[in-house]
Amino acid sequence: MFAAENGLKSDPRLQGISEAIRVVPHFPKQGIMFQDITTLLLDHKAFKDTVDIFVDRYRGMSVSVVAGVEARGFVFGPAIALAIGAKFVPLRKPRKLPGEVISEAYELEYGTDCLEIHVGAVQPGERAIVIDDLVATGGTLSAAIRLLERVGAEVIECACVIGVREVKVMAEELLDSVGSMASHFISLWSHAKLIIVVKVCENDYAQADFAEKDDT
Amino acid sequence: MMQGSLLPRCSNSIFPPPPNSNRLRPPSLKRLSAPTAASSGNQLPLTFSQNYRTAPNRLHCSGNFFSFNKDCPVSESQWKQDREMATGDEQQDPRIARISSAIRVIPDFPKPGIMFQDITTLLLDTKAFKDTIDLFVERYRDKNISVVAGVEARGFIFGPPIALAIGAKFVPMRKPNKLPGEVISEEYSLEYGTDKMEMHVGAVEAGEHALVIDDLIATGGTLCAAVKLLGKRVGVHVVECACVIELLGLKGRERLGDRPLFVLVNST
Repeated sequence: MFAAENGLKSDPRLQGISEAIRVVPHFPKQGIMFQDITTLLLDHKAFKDTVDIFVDRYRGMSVSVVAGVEARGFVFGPAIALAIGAKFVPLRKPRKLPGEVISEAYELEYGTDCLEIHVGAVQPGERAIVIDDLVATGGTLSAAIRLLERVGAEVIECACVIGVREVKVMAEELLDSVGSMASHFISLWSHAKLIIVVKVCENDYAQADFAEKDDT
Repeated sequence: MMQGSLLPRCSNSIFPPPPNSNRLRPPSLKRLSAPTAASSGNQLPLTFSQNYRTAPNRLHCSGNFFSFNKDCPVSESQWKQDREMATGDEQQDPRIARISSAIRVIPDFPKPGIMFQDITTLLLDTKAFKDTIDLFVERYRDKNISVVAGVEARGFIFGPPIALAIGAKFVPMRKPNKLPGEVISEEYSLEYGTDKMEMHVGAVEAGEHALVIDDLIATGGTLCAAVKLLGKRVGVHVVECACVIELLGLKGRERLGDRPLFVLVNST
């Protein structure tokens, strides 16, 4: 599930990538340790290595769609898509995409949010991956998977730069459903089979709720 | 907001010596008829052809160019002269036609009367998307550019591949309250009201050479704010602004003043 387990444990690139990610305490509110990838983007080698790790993995897997979650998924997805010869499909917050869309709602800690995809962007039977900078609760990625499956795509994998350790713990323990957050995990993991990440952090997964709520 | 966080590492790429100064031949001004949705090798799904366009959209191709030798920076007046020369009868780059026909126009979005230039269809055409990036990379590679700044959110799609290819860092320019670290911000006006753009403190340093990327320039308000943040506020030299599309008639180019602008396609 995580890069280390995917045979990348000794990949010398991982450390540089991990070290280039800055942690900003108390953003967006007290107690949250925010994983900031903008410093990774300033380190050309580390940024290139990040993209290369994903490209090395997905090239040759007949992936024709790279779906990126707004907005930080837009930073990584297109470069991967270009390198593997796939289309890039943006998954956006409501009312950003100008054409006809379908929407998928998902839960936040408080309230719900929504992801949209353009009708016709993906054809039935296409093989897709979903890209985002970070996975925590998996709510956003679950919604992305559901959207792509609704249009008939096969989601092979979700790929994130950063994964929160609780994700791994919950998936392994196969929790009895303890509220809807846990069911996100179960459906995410059983659906997507695998997530690859290059940095694991010990955070409280509350970051993702705020990121999902505020990030457009 | 930032408390003892790691400072961003700014690695300056080491560029090889520039090749023979190569004057880019720009796409020429050419009136295109409304392109058909289907062309050989076009990967757009059929459904797109149905709502592809309901009004004719004459796309012009234009460009300006500069001749930039890293060791001998060209003066502003030389750039202006080059721009005037560029609009002669140069051959259009053969990639431009496919790029412009891959862009979909959505009428009345986000409100009646606006013809929205939708680049998402360009992103579905792998050749056209690659060609778009290649055209920018060919122009800016070996030009001593260490920063590509992309304006949220569609600038995030084009900026990073360009940055990666030319060995530059990518700096996101974002709406308020998105960037977690310490920021500087610049207000700019909209048709009604104002908006604000932010950049992380420390992302760029005075003296660096930067490119600003967005998918489209209309009035130029957004790009001007980005140029101000980088230039006036931090002392970065903004070499050029680059967009896939320029909407003519909204005076965006004028608003940028003497800041050069390079675009692949125009729309009226």
